Amino acid sequence: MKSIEKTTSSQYVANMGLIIKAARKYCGTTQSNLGNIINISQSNISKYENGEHELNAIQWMSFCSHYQIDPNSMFYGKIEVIAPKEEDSPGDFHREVKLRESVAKVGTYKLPARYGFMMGSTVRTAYPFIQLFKRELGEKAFVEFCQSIKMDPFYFVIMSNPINLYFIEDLTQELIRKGILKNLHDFEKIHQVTSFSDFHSHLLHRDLLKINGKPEKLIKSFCRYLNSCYEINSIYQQSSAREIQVQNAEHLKQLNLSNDFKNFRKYYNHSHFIEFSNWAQIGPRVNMNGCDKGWSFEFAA
Amino acid sequence: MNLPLDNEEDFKSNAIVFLKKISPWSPFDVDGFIHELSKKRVSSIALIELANALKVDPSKLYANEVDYSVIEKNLLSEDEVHLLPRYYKGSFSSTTSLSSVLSQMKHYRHSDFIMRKLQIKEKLLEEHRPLSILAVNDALNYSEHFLNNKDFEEIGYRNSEKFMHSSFGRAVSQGNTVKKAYELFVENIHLVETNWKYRVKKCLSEGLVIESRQSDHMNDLTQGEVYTNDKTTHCRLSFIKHISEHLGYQGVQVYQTSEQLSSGVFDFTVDWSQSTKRPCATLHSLQ
Repeated sequence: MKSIEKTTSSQYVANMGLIIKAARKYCGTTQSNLGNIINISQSNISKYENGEHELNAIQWMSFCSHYQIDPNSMFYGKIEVIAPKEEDSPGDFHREVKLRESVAKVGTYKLPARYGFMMGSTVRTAYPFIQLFKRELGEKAFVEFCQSIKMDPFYFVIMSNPINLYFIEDLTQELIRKGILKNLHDFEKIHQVTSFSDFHSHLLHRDLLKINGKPEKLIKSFCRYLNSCYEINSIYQQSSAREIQVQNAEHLKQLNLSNDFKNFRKYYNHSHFIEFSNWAQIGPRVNMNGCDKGWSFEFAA
Repeated sequence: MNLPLDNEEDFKSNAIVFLKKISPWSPFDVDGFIHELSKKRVSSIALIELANALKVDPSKLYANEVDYSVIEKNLLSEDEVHLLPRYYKGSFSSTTSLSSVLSQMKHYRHSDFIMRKLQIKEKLLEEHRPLSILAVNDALNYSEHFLNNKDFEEIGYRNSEKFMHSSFGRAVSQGNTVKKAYELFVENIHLVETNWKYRVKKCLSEGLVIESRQSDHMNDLTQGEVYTNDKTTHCRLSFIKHISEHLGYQGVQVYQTSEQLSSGVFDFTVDWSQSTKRPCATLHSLQ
């Protein structure tokens, strides 16, 4: 083993703590029950949750097996999907992206009214901006921000948890207030976030290229993936061989989003599509235009 | 899965023997791992790092359920792919189908997790190769907490999308009606997989009833053992359903008419009574 640096090791232990607490809270498992699962006394659980102690191999494997969490999540400090055992199940676990019109609780996390309706995204979609926030302002500032909007920070450890666009709007507004984004038209920074994100591994993968090298086929498949797996606040439709039209989903009429934020969503799409175009070698430019239904992106030849 | 504590000594001794064996040529430094494994309790970080170095699932490693000879062969050569013996058993399916399952898992960031469970490496998926249906079944079983019917539908769609650009797709696109397309499907499905055989059972005025049965060589191999499950069958039905869509027909209904999905033996109906005519351009775009 390349000897694990002490700082790296302590980061993994801290990540482990985040994951343990996020999963336990999601499932509503008491510290005492968790103690039984991983064979630790209840009084010591908080030390592990605070990242003061590392679980040993058998404890960590038992924990991951119980909640169906990838053991490698300790490297990243986030849970991609969680599938609790039936006896622990909060009833509805949020593996897929689908519209949740009105939700008071996710798992056992309570949601404030502002964020608990018309949820068409997941934490995964907002994660690039959460990462930017944490990187620039620190973990503590993120916790304070969550407290100010009455959200539990551990909610954002689970990538498959649903969110609505008000959360992303509030998060980006906070980034502007803190001077991290100049404004919601700060395309340079937005593009930096997009390329920093794990968008590549999420949607741009080998399988897409396997289908057929033709741009129109790639664009068609890309649209399908966006609609089925990314977010459902927008509807992505291939309108011609090299063009994607994007329109707001019907449920967005119920959210009173600012015009600036609406434009921000276009820039964010634009940035993603530039990434896609570069990756799939479709063309040198992606032009953004307004259209009847919303906005469109043309992949220049 | 409850991991027994008394496994730890077996795991440690097996892993140490293996690490010592590969130490002369190992691509990573084994001494640090041996040191960690010599401690009374193995640290979780050491276990995960070791599992990653060996490209296996940590819980399987800990439970002594890995095949060290396959690990060794795969570590020895970057370019060659060695599989667990069970995945060579009846290679009538393909890496392309497995890749369709894994790419759906990619959306949930779980494809690497599943690949380590199967002890396969990315290189395997770079080319279309024969593979046992057991690999596809295992991948779906390991993913059962994460996948639902919508995902199975997507997997079938993706698989059909890929195969429509192969010799199979070129063959079925020769027909200029839905009926002919599905007759050509029955004739040419062997270009995709040979786990199953298909037969047109009945012609309806605007439809076909097709039966799916286990192929003779699969019967010989399995000796009555069932090599499929309802999830795999769901993906297969979605594959069949989307063929007409890729050929440019809209509104063709494909639905199962018998229930034995878990054994893969079922009949399905292709109903084109509501279908639109196929646009001519589609044929050219497929070729």
